Amino acid sequence: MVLLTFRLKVKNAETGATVEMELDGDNSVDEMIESAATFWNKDMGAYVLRKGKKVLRGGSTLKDAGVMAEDVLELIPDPEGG
Amino acid sequence: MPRPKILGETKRMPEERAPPPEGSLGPHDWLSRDSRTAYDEVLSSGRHFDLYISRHAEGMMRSHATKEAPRRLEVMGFMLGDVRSWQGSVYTTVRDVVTTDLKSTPSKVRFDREALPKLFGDLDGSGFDYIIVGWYHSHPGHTCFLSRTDLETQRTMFDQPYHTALVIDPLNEDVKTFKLSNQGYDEVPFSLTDALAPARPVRKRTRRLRVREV
Repeated sequence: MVLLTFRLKVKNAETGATVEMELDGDNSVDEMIESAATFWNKDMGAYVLRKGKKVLRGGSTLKDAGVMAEDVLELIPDPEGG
Repeated sequence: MPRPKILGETKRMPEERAPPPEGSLGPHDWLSRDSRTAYDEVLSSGRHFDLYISRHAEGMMRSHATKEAPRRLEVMGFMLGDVRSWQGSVYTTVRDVVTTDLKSTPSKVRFDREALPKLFGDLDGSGFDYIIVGWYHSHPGHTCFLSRTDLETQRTMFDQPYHTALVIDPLNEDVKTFKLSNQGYDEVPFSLTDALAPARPVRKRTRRLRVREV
């Protein structure tokens, strides 16, 4: 099996920081969220990842989600008020 | 399958910039007596405030909260701004706010997941390189404080020293801003300012928002 890796950036909307990530098209969106959230010491369940106006859903692969090299994705908090 | 690998991080450092001038500042109309005293103390001390909110952003939050007040439904949104430093200390600006359709009760509120694209469109349309410097939500008739749920949200998502929670009670006409502290959370004085303006064309966005009672 040939794995094609590519790089993209994920921005942390709460701090303005960005990480550059190396991924494979068969990685899942959840794996990407988990990596970024873990790096920033965040609870991955409290965040969503967006590409433009689109919410990237957890179980789908990056390939199926249309994520491509050089994309800049953004990690957005999903708060609850009470 | 290799796991995603983080190659490096680029941090965003606070821009060195003077706070809004004193002539542009003013207190929120709905400050309690204690909050107003705290405001006056900061102003007379010559120190800068930790938080400056544009009058535009304040108006959007007040309008949003007031609109749902008759149904006693909570509303919520993000505060967009920047983190700046001046003479060795950091302060935060709120230039704009964004929100979307909500799932709400008189005591709970969340973004409607189906309406996240609308929220993301407004983030892209904000017109500047924002940081989500905090969040706002309403407590219609419940006064202003951080509930256990609010505190969990603050600890989980808004744990940087500059992150703020603004709570507004449109029925009691009260508003307060809070930050995490060693004791849990503390109220922090803030000022409104005319010196910050939204970077996008202004329109009444809350009119088209739906708040669904759940």
